[in-house]
Amino acid sequence: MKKRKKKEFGYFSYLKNYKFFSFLAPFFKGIESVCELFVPIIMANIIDYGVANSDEHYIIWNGALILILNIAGFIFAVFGQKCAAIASMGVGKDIRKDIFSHINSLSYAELDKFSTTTLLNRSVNDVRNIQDGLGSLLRMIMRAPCLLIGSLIMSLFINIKLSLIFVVIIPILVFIVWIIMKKLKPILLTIKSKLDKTTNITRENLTGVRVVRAFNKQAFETERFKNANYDLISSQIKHGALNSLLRPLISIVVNFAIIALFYFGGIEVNIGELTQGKLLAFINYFGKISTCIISISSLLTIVNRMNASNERIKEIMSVKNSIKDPSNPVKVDFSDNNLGRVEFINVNFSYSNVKNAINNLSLEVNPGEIIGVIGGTGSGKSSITNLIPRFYDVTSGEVLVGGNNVKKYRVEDLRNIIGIVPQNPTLFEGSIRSNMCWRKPDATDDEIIKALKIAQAYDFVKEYPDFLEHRVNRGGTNFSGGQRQRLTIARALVGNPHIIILDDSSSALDFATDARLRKSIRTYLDSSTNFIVTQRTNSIRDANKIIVVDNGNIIDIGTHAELLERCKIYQEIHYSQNKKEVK
Amino acid sequence: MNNYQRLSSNEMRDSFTKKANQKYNRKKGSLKTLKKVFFYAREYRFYLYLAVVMDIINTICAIYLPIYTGFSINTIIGVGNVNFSELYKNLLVIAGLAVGNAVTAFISEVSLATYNYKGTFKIRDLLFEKFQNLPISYIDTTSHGDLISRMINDIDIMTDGFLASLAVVLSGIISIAGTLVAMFMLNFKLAIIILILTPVSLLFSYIIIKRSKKYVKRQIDIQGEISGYLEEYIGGSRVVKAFNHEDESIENFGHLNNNYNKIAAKSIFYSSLTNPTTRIINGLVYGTVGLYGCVLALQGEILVGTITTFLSYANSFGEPFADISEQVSSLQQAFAAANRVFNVLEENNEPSDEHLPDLLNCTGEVEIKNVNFSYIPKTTLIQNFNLSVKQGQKVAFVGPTGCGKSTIINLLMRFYDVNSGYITVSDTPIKEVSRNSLRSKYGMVLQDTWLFNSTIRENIAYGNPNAPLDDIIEAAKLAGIHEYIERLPKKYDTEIIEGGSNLSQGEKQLICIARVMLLKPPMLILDEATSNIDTRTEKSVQEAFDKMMKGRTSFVVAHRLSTITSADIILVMNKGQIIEQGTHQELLKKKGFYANLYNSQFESSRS
Repeated sequence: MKKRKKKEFGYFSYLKNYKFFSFLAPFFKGIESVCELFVPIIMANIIDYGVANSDEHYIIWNGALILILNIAGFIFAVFGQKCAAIASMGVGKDIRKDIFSHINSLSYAELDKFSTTTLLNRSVNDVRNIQDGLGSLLRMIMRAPCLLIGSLIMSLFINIKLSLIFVVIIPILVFIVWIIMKKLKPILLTIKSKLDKTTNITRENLTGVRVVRAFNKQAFETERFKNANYDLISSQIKHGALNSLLRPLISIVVNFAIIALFYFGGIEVNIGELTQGKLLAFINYFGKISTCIISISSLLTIVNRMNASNERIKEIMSVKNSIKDPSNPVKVDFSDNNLGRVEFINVNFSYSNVKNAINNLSLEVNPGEIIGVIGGTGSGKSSITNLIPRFYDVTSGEVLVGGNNVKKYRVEDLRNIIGIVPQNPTLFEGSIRSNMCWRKPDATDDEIIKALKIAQAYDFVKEYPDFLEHRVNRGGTNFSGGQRQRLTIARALVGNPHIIILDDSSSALDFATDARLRKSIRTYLDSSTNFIVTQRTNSIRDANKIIVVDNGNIIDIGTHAELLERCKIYQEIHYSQNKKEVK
Repeated sequence: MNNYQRLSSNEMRDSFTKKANQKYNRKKGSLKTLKKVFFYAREYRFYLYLAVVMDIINTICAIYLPIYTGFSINTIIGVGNVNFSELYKNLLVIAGLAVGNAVTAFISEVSLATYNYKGTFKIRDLLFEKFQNLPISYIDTTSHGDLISRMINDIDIMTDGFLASLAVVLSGIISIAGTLVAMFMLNFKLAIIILILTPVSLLFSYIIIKRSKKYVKRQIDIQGEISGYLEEYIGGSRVVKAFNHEDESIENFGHLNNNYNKIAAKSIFYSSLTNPTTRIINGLVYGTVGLYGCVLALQGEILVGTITTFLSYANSFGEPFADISEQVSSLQQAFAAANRVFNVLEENNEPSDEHLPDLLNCTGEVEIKNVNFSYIPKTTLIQNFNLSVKQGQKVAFVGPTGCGKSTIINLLMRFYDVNSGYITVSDTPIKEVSRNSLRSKYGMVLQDTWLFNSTIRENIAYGNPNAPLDDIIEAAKLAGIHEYIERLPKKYDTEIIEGGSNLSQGEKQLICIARVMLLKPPMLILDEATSNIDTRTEKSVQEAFDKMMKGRTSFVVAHRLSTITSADIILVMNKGQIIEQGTHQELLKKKGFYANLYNSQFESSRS
């Protein structure tokens, strides 16, 4: 908190924006606890002086004082809670914003390190942990210690000898809480993993319902589930039993401490070292101390959870974007047809976890050419096209677009040259129009319609009464797979990109639609360079050049006819999909 | 797929009306739901009874503790005025009560937890068994995420809510009643004061809780919106980058985030008020009781010790009210969750077929006569479908994606039943034999390969767990996956994790084929994979498929031309209907849909 003020992520540094509130929250809560601390001693005075001397005046005045202290305490508490809410929620908001912006700034290479669920969990649940934890922390950080120390001081003032009882009892209470928390922790972890197992079996059985029934395995699966389920509740019962120990143990220690207070208190009162009222106050302070210990222990769990969340968020925040804009970017003239020229010069590329995804690729592509990239899954074929828009940077060699190294463009300009259709057809909530305007925010209706027509999507879009304003649900779930795919193709074509990359993106289309699509791209976008990554030889039989990739190696480059002639792998792929054409 | 979607939206409407109906007779419904929960957990009711008995003893101890504390104080009056023998007697009683209190509290909590978790166990088990017996149509049309959430979250919420609130309500009522009796016995006037002040304090907290609830609900809604947005944009972050859309997405998120912040801050503030409010009200009750007690003590009506007894009653009397009111929301959630769980539990099972004989002799002739079928009542999908398949013939289904090829599989395997007409296998109508015996005559390999988390060996032996290793190896060899498995460090004992994420798509498919090969069924249902198989394995899969089909009646959802052209019968489907039927040559001559489809892939795009 003090010296760790580096660039590293830490929730404390976010409190700086809410200095005022994060200072006031514990401050007010501290005052509240001070108000609370005086009540028992006043009550003791009422009993000792008021009742003993039959002084009604004294009783009423001190009673009024208790009332005032109560109300004051409440008002300070309300202010404290308000400040804590503002500060903690504000920190949550800022962290959430920073994570989201950070994730947006990362390149593909960094995103590969985290799964989507990881990123999502961290930006939703972990931030919430921190935000809620911070709220509790701000509310309790002064109150609990203030009450604890205040109660101790008060009791010391009343009677030093009796306070010694606290010296014995407090460590015992702390020990009980500590040992139970410690024992609970590993059980909680096993419960979590056992719950995951139960969830997994459920999911397996839902997705595989046909297989389970085809093999008549219902009874077997039920038994399997039962075992996992029983395993789970065994741990849960263990956890429950251990947890049930906490409160009775504390209450028995507290009650025996009270017995001790009475025992020694009786002696002290008898010799005039203590009064009846003070003894009562003592018991009262003792009650406050034991509740404080419980709330401090829960505070510790909260802090632990916050720190764990903090670590997870830090992991994301510490990853730095590796793809940056150059200091002197090349100016882009979007009317220049030459932008469609792509060259690979001795390109080698490795992912952080996969070595040699591309080995020594050299290729020259002229504007308007069709380039096919073919190979199996994991062969590295998508890696080639990923280098053009700088989703990844080459390990060595150069990629040129429009005669310039891709690293010389501003990343935004470079990607504006290119229209990309990713493997997974992802649409975003909004309308068809809002999705179509992703590449070109000011696209006209004519431009959008043209793109829809080329992508073979116009036929179904025009059937919607609200046409371009037709709603797109989150993730595009209101469209079929084929429709989604055609829409993502159209999205990439709006505004005539110089380079089109179709990354295995016609898998949900039938042969005929796929053929029509390729034909219309040729007809209407004949000056665009077209990269088609695919597993079907039929999709690229007209390509100017076909790159055959296997295991990161460029096996061969040539036309369909040439490759059928000489490339064994290409032949294999082709003939497994097509019976030998007898001509 | 489209059919499923339409069906599910229909079902959704149904469930909406159901919900609406439920709202009208909610009171009756709640009671019924509660009864059902206890009914399902009835075999563990001993733990519940034990908890109740322990709770009663616990409350009695808790009521007597302050009384003896008060007595003790009364023995300590002043200098030289301490009745030690009386004090020690009282302290001894307190010690006994403290031990009794702690022990009963522990036993009660443990037995309630046991009751709670055993009940959870039971209901989960029943629900899982239900999943195994529901008609496939139900599982097809219900979101799996939703079903999983019912299995895991809803059952948790339900048992937590019912059983934990039950504990609170139970011990709350017992302690309210007990304290009330004790108070009136000790001092009538002070008891009346506490009795009047408590409802006032409850009203206060009610007002605050109600207010905070409004914001909590809005907070939850907008939280869902934020999560949805993040899911969409983090999931699609690659697309966002490809289209330079970072700034817009950050800006939109900023709006959502700010909105959330405003509402969440309010919601947190109001809910955090509950604590100080309880404290001030307790403080006020404490002060009033203390002062009035002092006045009564002055008048000699009570002793100082009685004041302390009442002070602790003032605390313990209000507490259960607050505790019970806190349970209201979790009870509401529990009712909602229980209804979601019971809705599934009370769905109709697949009609029982226990009385039907097994299909014994099956040579592999399949006859489909005048079959009509549709997923949605009153619409048409498959109409008057006739097909006669001889033993060993290969039937290929061809058509664009989503044309309904899998419908036929559903009917053959009786995952769904025909609306009219009939299907026979070796002259036996399939409706007149048990489903299990029918299904065991088919070997099925689907495109969505399904493996479960266990070893390769157990996955291959899925249909026959007692198969000796030699048979398993034999099946693996026939599927062409044996060499691959042998290369793995743990060979056949290699664990398959997360549905096979450590295997490639092709390898998974080969294991599925081996699984079928082990059983040597007379008939096959195959769904060829379109993509995701690397070229090398694709060849092995193809070979394995061919080997398997030899001599067996096969129904193949075909994507490869080699499969299609060698088929004895090709069924061409479009939009759920069978539009053409014949051999490859016949269909080409017809120059219809099939011919068009076939030729389109050779069409040049550069013409």
